[in-house]
Amino acid sequence: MAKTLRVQLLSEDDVDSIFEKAAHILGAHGVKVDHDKALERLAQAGALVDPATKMVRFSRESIEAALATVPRSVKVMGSDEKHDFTVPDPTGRFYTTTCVQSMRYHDPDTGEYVENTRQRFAEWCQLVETLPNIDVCAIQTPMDAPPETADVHALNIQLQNTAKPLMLLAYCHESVPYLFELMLARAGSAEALRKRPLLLINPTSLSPLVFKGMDMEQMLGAAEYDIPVAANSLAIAGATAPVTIAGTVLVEAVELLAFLVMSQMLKPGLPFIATVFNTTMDLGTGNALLANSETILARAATAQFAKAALGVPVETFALMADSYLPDGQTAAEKVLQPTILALAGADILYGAGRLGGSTLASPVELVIDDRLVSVIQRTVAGVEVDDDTLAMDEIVAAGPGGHFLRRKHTLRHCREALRPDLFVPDVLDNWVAAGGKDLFTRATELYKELKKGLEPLPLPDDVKRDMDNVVKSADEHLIG
Amino acid sequence: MAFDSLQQAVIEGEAEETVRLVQQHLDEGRDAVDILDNGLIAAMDDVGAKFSAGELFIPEMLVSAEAMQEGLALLKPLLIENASGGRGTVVIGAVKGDLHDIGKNLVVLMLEGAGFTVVDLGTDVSPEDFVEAARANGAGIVAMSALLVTTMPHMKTTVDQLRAAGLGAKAIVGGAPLTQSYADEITADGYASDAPGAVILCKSMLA
Repeated sequence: MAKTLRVQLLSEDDVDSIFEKAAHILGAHGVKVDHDKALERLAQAGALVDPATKMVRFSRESIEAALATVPRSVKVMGSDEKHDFTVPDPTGRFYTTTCVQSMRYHDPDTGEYVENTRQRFAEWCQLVETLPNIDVCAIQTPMDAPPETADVHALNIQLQNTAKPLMLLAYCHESVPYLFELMLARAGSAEALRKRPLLLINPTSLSPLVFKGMDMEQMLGAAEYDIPVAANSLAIAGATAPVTIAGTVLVEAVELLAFLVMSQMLKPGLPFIATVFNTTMDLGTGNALLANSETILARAATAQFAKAALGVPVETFALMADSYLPDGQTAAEKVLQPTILALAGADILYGAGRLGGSTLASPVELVIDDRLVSVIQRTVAGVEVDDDTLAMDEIVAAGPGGHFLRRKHTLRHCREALRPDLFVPDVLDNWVAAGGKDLFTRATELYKELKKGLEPLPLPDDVKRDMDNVVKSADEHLIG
Repeated sequence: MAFDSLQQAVIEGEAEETVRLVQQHLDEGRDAVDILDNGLIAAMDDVGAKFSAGELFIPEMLVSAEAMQEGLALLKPLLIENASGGRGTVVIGAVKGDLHDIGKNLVVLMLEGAGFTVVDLGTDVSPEDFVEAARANGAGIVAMSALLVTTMPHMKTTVDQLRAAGLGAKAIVGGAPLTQSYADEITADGYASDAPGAVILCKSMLA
């Protein structure tokens, strides 16, 4: 088997030092948890809670206890088991997820930036279902849905249009119960949902060191139904974390460790994925940078830390961009980041379909990312070395000046090389004769071809009706 | 020029020197409004221009803003209420239900640096609290931010309540999910897509 390639940004001493400092902050200073019921549950489980300030501290013993119960691997499940996968993957490969919360959409037909809609998001989910290298479909924001229930509408669209595992994050505290009702309606029963949780829940820290009510509400729901938690730290270097790379890593480490300990206090054994979503504030402008070098290094170092010190699978921002077009800058950013992060050991690479900033999605970029990911996956997989692949006998048989085109060995292996359809070139003359099309043009054509075959999942009418009724109920109770 | 040294002290972020020079100008009998407008704020306009040109970074600009604020503290007791000094008052907050405030905090720092009096209501601010603070502080502008699409409707409620209260304050909005078209839809008076844009917007409204 090929050796999985890995890079190490931190020494063992670095990892230990980060862990000790994170444990010190959690034990001596604490974090703020803005959810009364969660505070109660955490206190019962041994956390040191000050109800007046909502500050929570965790003793060294409780941290060690949580690290002992947190599962080392997580099975990620969709509504169809053919899409299931386990992280860390036994072969060392990574998996991918699309981008969340996209409110804006780069229209492939007009090139304009338009609002995301329920129709566009449904088509997006159907496209994800067909793309071979995209493994998880994340929630987006249909702007034609009522703002108060946009997340409920979006989850309903996800559940009805792709059977792949989903990534969910709530947009407000009040909508969380409806999100769980939707999952129950899709699964059929609480027992069925526990057996096949359909999604990853992504509670998010409010860096530095705050855990909001709606995120704790999601944690409680996840604990109730055994849904894997992909808890994320969203530290912004220079703004909500120290400006230095190592300082950003430490904020991420504290928040991820706090999330991990809380998850195990709420439900020992709850599957947990450390999710590394840090960015950098460009201190020249105040804008967020998603794909700059310092951010990549902070993510890679945090990923290494989480694998080594916490022993859990890792998801990271990886297919992010600082360009607003599916252009050369985007392509460069979407190769450097995922390559480094895959080499750092990340199990799930986040952001397929994302363009610049944190709210823009492009279906054409999603198609490009699907193909790019296959190239990175192949390249970081390493080299398989055995008698057959070394092929010494073949070399001897071909002899000096011979060739390998007619060898059975070549015939046997000739379809193994990766040939991503968007990237494999024809000769120059043929390419020019075919219109001299650039990557974006070719990807747009492929997207339009794929679009012809898209359709929603064939769900039973009563399941669809039950789900639609949950959305109606959310609209009735939450709007206005 | 009379305020060259003072302006230079602010631009270089030298708080002690700024305070010393403000005091010196006062001792020489200069008007507080004159010192504020042509010394401190003129310096921060220069700082703002250097920032826009990419010559200064945010932390460097904030050092200048702190120096300016320390100088201003000396002048404040001398400035007659509603006098022409300063740029006016902005009441700002993240709207009801929204706890995300890094973008709002950046706007606060930049507005203060530009010479506005800023009343920061923090996060999760109800429409009633915006209206009350606008009234109590005689605000020229009420600035609202949101990160979550679910909290955006509270912007409309706040705009409506400001108008119903008969206050003259302009309502402006910003934040990741916001767009000019949403601002138009809720009849906000302005929208900015980033913090420097918010400062430009406020300057244009309270010119």
